[in-house]
Amino acid sequence: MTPGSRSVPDIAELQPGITTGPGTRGDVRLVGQRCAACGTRAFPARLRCVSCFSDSTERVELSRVGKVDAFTVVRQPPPGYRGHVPYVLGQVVFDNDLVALSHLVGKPVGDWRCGDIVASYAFELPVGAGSVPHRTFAFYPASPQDLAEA
Amino acid sequence: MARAFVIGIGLTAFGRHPDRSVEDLAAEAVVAACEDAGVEWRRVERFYAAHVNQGVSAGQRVIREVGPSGIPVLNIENCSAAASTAVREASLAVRSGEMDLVAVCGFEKMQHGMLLNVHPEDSPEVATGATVLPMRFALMAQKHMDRFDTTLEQMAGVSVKNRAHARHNDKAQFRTELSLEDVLGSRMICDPITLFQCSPTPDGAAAAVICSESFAARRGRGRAVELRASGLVSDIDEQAHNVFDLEMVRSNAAGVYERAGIGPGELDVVETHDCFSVAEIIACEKLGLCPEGEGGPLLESGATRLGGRIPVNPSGGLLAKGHPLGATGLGQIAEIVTQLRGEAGKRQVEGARVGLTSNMGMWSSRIHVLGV
Repeated sequence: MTPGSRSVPDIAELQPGITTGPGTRGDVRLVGQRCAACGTRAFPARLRCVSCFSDSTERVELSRVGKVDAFTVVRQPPPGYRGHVPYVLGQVVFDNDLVALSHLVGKPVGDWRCGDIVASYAFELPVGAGSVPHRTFAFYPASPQDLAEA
Repeated sequence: MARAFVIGIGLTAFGRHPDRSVEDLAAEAVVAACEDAGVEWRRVERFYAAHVNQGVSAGQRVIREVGPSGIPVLNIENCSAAASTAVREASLAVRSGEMDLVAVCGFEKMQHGMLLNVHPEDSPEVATGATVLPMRFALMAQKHMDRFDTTLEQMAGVSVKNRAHARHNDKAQFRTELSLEDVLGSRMICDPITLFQCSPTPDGAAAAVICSESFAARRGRGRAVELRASGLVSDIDEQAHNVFDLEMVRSNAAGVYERAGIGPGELDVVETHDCFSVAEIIACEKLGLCPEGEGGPLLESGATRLGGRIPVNPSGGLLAKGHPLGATGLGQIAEIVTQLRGEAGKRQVEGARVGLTSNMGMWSSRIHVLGV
């Protein structure tokens, strides 16, 4: 995928509500949860708090900029995956201490390094037998504007 | 609690068995375990069947072959740790005094191809390509390389060592040696994990007969091996925080060592879950065989080879023996029993008296300490 695909049109969401709607640059915020009882945050949101198991949780929009903690280039895709191969999956630490497992896109697969600074954007992925385009999220190399807004 | 002993083990060859049913494979292992124990099937009081993708109530289908004796059958699915979970439940049943003699069998006919973290077809994990299992261990490997300067050669060295060990194991799927160049030069699957750093996916079955202290006392201890302690810990790090780590192995090992009354320094031999090469390196750290971050140098030093300070995976491990999900945990236990009996032939760890198995299923760790 090229950075040009960031401005994803209004298509079905893979996981409804997991991000905010895309901004003009295709930028999205991931939406997690904060526990009203103990304050623990989690991404993605669950039925209950992951720490105290309270059901009194609220949705929270998370900051877009994060750091690649680990990554791998998947060269042999699993059955059912319809996207581009090879692809990069990484663990991104963002909004202080949350971790997301995410596609990393926006530069050649061999150029990723632990410690890369990234930001969340909308990302289009073909899904299912019909390869129907869906909107999900991915982390791209953070631009100066991403950093300025963070 | 009272004590529990393994008095019989049985294994099929791990490999491709296209012409045999899974029931047939499992029945072979159960009958072999009963013969090894010197007990008649009709005396077994309960049967634990461990399997992952073999259909519902596969244990009952196995009993139909071995002998429909009317005993209770329990089917246990716990991903790759199904069999060691079943052994733990079986040992607790005899240690509690409920049972005197039980049989456990893990079995699996595998699909060809890559190991998957199976999700429903319409799940986002499938759509995003996140079900590819080596990915999780590739992430751990990248992090380990980044934090501790672990090298590609050290990780590939796990495959070289375990393939060398398996030369002497006639139940192993792969019994030919590989060089470091072979392993590093094989096809890249998920960077930095190459094909020969992924465990193969054979068919196979492994069984054990487990008895109570009083049963063992009545018939004489003989070649019995004691199940001294076990533990089961399920993961919080990934389920709550999306962090892939083997911290569950560290916390499980701590509890098991305490219950067994030993420390890692007292182990003579270890079978650990090397589903991918890096898993053995990290598990050695989590099991306390070396300090955190030094799993790479430990491998390189030769300490974990046969003849080294603490041989790890003398059977060849999952990387060479193979990884038939439901059977894997009992494959490990059978190896430790063989080692502690002194019956491992050319792969014998001299004088081994205490051994450990560390088995992992998705999001869980199962550890057993066995001794003579």
